[in-house]
Amino acid sequence: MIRQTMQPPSGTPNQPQNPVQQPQILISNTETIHGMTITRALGVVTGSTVRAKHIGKDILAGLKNIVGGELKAYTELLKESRTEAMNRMIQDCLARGGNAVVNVRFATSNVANGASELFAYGTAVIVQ
Amino acid sequence: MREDFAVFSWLPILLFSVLPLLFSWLYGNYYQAKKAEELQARESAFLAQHGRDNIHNISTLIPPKPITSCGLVMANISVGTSWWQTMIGRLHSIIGGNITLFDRVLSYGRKEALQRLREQALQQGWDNVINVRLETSRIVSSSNNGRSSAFEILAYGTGIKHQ
Repeated sequence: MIRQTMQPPSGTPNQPQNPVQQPQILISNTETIHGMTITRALGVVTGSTVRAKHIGKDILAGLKNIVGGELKAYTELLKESRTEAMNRMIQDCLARGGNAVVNVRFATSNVANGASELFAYGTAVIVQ
Repeated sequence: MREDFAVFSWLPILLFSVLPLLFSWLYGNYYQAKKAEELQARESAFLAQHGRDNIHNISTLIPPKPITSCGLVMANISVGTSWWQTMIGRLHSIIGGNITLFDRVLSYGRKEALQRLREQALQQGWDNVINVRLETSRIVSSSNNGRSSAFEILAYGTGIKHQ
């Protein structure tokens, strides 16, 4: 699991470093990373995933729909899929040598009956 | 004798078409109203506890404060209209106009997504969330062909910490 948040080095000098040696990527949907300066922009990075629903879950959700309201199975599934799409975006960013993604946006579309495409895109940058 | 048989042959059709709709109408309205009430209570409890709202649609804080760290916060929900609402919605779409039943479901979904965003921001330790965006998409079901419509609502923003 890639950490999506990072403490700035200046603000918390006494905190122990994160023992997990995975690259830390800062993600923000504003145009800047607050508290840091962007030194280089590396272009648009994208990540997407197409996910179909499990047939059993789908039928259960259809039954739940008798009364309407929240469909928990879909909520969980889409959450997982979106995390997956974001991880792919992060991999793209790492491949370009960036350490942060700014101005992240999400898009969702139906590609087929019962399948959704979840798409995340943003600008890879190097921050200091 | 023959007429009796006709009545009994209608029974299964009645059982599988009208009764679920009736149930959907009676219990669905109650269930959705209950959920909306619970959400209202959660919202007002949150505001009473913290005294202010912690999510903002603009990309800066007013008044501006020095920000020390930031990160993405997301919350989502998928909501569906009940069978009854879907049927009435279809009838409505013939004559056009405002389908108030769908309004209710979607506005509940949006409010719930925003409330989850607030709670998630608090849980992850952010002081505020800025630049909040809402996104809605329709979920198309593979089975249960077109009988019900479901929507997914995503709320996301940048969580910030300030001094």
